[in-house]
Amino acid sequence: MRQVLFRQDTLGTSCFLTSRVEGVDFERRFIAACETFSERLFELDQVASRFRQDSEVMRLSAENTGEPVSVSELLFDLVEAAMRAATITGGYLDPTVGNSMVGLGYSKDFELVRRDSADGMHFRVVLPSGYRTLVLDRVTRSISVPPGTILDLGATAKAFVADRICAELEHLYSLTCLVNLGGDISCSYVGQEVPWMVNLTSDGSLDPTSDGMLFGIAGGGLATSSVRSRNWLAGGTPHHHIIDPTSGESAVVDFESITVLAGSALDANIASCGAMAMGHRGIIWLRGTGLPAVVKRTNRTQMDGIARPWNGSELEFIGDWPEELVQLSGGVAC
Amino acid sequence: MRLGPALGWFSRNYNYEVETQAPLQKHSVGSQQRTPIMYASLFEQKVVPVKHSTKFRDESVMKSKRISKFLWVGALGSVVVVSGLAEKVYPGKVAPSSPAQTTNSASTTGTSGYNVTSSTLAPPPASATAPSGLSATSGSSSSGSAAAAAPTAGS
Repeated sequence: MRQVLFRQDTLGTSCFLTSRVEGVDFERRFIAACETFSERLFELDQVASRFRQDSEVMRLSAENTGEPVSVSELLFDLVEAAMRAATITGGYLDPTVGNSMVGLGYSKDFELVRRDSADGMHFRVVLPSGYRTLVLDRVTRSISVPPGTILDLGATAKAFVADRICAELEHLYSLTCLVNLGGDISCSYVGQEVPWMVNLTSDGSLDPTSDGMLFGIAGGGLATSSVRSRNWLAGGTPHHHIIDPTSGESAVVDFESITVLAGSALDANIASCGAMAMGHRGIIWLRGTGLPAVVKRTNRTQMDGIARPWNGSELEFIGDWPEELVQLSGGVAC
Repeated sequence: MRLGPALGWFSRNYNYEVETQAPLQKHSVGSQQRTPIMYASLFEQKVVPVKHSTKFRDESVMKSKRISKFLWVGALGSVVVVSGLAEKVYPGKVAPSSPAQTTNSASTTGTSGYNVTSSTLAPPPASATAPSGLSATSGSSSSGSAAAAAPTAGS
């Protein structure tokens, strides 16, 4: 069994397509799959990027008057997925937090935010209009957004598209594949075959050579939410990209990171990101979902579960998390 | 050996930047142009078969494999029977066979296959017993297996 990896840096992160070398005419199918993969990422950027004024979601936000606006299929699906996330998390993952995010300074590509952060930045707190103010009409494929509201689909868009790309490549090219968009992972179901090996890095990076915990998954999705990488200073206050919609500010997070396994990348992301946004209540809610998860505690976190020391921090395992694997010989290729 | 025939084919036919090492971070800042591929690498990963850590584990895995062989044959038979029945009763409405498919937004065309009324999160498919390879650090559970690695889950 061999695997092939394709990497593309876009959407402010690294995106990977991994496929198993199998079947006839594999090379042709895989190359075509890489093309499709790139196309879908480009489409996502065109439709849902909050950092480019010509994206569809920004045009929808800028030009709306509260009346229904016809949108592309992809944007409609993304907003619908975001609404589902909001419903499941009781509003903690709210797609209308774009204004709050801009108010706190996250209004451009994150590397630019970090650069400006070093020079000193002001911030203001803006409460979101709330996901219940959006109206979606599936028949006319239109969305009504309150005037002035900026949609932020960052909590769900990559995971949703990862699922969609994975399903599409499976269908079009008969590939067994794994799609990883900045840590939002969706993979084909491999059943009894060799599972997908995933390295949960201890430093939160996407560098596969980092120290980490290796485990196998048979399919579905996996997502990690963390505030380690996307944080900045504004007005002398630290901020991060997970917003508490009840305050309009960065959520008070009690965990360094949360990784969740689910039936799809979107569901895993809803669980991990939602639990982060809920603060100290997140862990209770997460247990209630029944999904396997790993929670990395911060120093001040107090939890009831049994924690295990790991690389200078403490991990708590929730649900039926796969066993950690040890590679006894040979090398991990990436 | 990280480079395989696919890489040669790829680089001959596509004008992508190709790396032979696993590249580290090189983010694209902004995305104003139709040049989504800033940095691409393509290399093969080989599965390296490794041994199980203990004899006990080897034996237990072999035993469970023998048992599960029969279970799987039985389960497969019943799935086929049930799905055949369902196809007769509800033509065209048979559920997808893979657990992963039940929650994927599988519609790649048309407006959203997502069930917005679903208020629960779907669990992951169960990990299967795999024949050989990596071993679990503890216990004799059924999830140990061989593999080439490995996407990272850091975010």
